[in-house]
Amino acid sequence: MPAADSPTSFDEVYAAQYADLTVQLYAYFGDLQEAQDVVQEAFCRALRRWSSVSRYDDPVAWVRRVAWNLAVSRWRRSRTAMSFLRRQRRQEPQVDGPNTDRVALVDALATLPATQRRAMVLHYLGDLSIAEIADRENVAVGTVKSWLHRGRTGLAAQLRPDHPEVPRA
Amino acid sequence: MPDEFTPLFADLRGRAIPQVQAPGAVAAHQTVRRRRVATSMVTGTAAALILAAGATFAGTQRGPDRDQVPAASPSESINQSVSVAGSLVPGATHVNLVASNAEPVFADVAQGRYRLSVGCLGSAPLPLKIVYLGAVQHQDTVACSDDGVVRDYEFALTRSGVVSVRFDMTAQADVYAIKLTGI
Repeated sequence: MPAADSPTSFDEVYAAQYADLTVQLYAYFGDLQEAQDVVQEAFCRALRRWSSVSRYDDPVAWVRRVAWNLAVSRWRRSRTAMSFLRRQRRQEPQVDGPNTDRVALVDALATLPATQRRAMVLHYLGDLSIAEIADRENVAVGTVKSWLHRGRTGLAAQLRPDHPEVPRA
Repeated sequence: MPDEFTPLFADLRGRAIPQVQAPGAVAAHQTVRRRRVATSMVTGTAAALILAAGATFAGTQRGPDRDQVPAASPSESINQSVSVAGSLVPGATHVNLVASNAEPVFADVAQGRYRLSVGCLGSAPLPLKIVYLGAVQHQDTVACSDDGVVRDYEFALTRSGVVSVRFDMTAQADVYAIKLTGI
């Protein structure tokens, strides 16, 4: 995202990006409340150093990166507890929680290896191009293409078990 | 290029976004203000203790600054900053944003002498603690700069174990790069 197109006021960036970032992390980790907490924390950290973050050509990328790192860090620390909570949620659907289709997609994503899941989420929900994901993950473009291909195949198998193979994009 | 998954994810986004309850930018401002107040209170007390207890140690542990890396431009990408930080410490195994809450960890480090190189980029200092043998063994603040600064810390591990680096929650530096080398 070029600097000229980016809102540089913290409040504007927050208003424009909070929900989208939260949905990305929700899709990756499967926990909406956790995703909200982590994105809020990332924005707080951005605000503390907004004078330097706002100088980046894409301040949102900074917030996204910090939010993802925070989420991974939290997830590692509470892996056991979150696994338990997910099992509970499947047994007791929340009134305000996601509907079945959404849960199916999020659950299907959860079966993918972390790299494939992250690539799928960044590509389809973060609207990042393959080149941008490769840059962010510090891998070759071909690696991201492979992650996405395997991710699509894995997702198709989860969502439609009779689905044979996803053609390469 | 849209494919069969594009509408699935668009649907997920469309249905999930109304469920998101943003605490709001105002809440973020309040949180940051509250933390600043709390930090300034703690820092006042801690600074005196650290100065008294750590001055001698810091004097012996601080290594010389390394060659500086050309300054990054005022408007740059995060990947550029990460890349510049990485170039401060060639072969760095951990390069990340300071604010990312990461705690660089070196697992199963064998007994022996080591040099921990810490590079940082940013206009604010980087308070850090080096932890091994189950306790905080070194505490220092690296005076980072926009041009990049590297500090070396040398120490001996009397038995194998984990070495990790903890950054202060209030750290304002931008990016760090770390490498552990046997000497």
